[in-house]
Amino acid sequence: MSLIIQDSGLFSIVQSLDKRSSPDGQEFKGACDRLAHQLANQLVGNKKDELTIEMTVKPAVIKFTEPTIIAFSGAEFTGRCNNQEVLPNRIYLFDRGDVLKFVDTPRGNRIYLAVAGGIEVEGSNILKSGDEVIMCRDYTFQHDELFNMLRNRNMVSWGVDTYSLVEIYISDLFHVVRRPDISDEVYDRLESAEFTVSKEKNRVSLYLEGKHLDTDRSKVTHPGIKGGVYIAAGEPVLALNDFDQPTTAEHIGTIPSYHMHKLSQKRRGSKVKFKVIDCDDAHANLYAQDLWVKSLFKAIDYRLSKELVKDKM
Amino acid sequence: MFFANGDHAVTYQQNEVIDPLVLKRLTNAFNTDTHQYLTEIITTENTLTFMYEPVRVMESHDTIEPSGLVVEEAERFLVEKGFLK
Repeated sequence: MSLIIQDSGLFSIVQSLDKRSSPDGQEFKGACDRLAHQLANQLVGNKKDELTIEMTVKPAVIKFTEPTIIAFSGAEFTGRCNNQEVLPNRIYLFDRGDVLKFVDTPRGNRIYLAVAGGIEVEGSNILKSGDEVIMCRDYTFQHDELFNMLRNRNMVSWGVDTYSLVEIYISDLFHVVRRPDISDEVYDRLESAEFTVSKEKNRVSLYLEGKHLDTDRSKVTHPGIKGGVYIAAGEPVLALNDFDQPTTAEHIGTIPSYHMHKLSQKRRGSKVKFKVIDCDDAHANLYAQDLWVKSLFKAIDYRLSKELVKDKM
Repeated sequence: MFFANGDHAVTYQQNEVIDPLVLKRLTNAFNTDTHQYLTEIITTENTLTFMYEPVRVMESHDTIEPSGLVVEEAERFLVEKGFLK
């Protein structure tokens, strides 16, 4: 039994947390929004690096063929199933024959759907309408308890509220780690402008328009690296996970990993501003976010175990 | 020139093109050797980029400034392989 992708939406892919090689030619280049990927897994009691379904702009329509516990995180999409509203960052149990659809949102770009016990795919991990996603059913004791609890009511009464994640997602300001060979004038122009996302090459790059940026041509071939800020024809191009080819576009800095969650949620029309910082400041911010994420995940574990104990009493 | 390429990478860059055979030799050597913090090498004709997990380095060394340690390891690798003096 499996999940059936009735409509694949705009772009849906089974995705890993980190980049990894696949002998079957599958493209596991890592979740664009690593926090949402991990959060969805954490909610359903999976390991944080279990595969999830990453869905962009218009999420897939998914049919369940057996009792299935899910959670989704990332953009503020709302789902509907059996006339029930299905919210992000909450835990739900769906039954055989249930169909989950999503309503478009004007905010955010990607959601990550995790399935308790894990999922896998045969063949391409880019999902097409009619494809099946295999349920691994690698259930733990905690999963069994969750199934028992959700038999009476198909959702957990709590979740991670939007305001908890505001600091991560609700800002248009992005840090850029400076390079020693780029002039202050270039960074001044970058910081003084507001840019608009003009298009996304899916999972590869975000194209911005706004102030024209002139840079000295170095004739250096730069590596394509996640978070890289490149200047092509005077406009910034921001590298996402699949931007892994060398480029002669001028590289002026790199967005740190702790701002890549919100970058991957920007869509056409989103505003983007930049602040140029040193690497040491980026590492201090990264460490602070890492501690915050660990405490959030501990709080989820605590809340879930409390709920399971309450249910037994 | 070495520089911090974001918070997960350090890059060595030179204006002269690096011989493709040298790039291949360095990549093979990197993939067969074991490393303390470096996890991946990405090469172009002008650059050698080394990836690392900063939080791991921070927690191992009780520091929030890990890039110096990573640059040291990358430099050591390039000297050992005869690329840098």
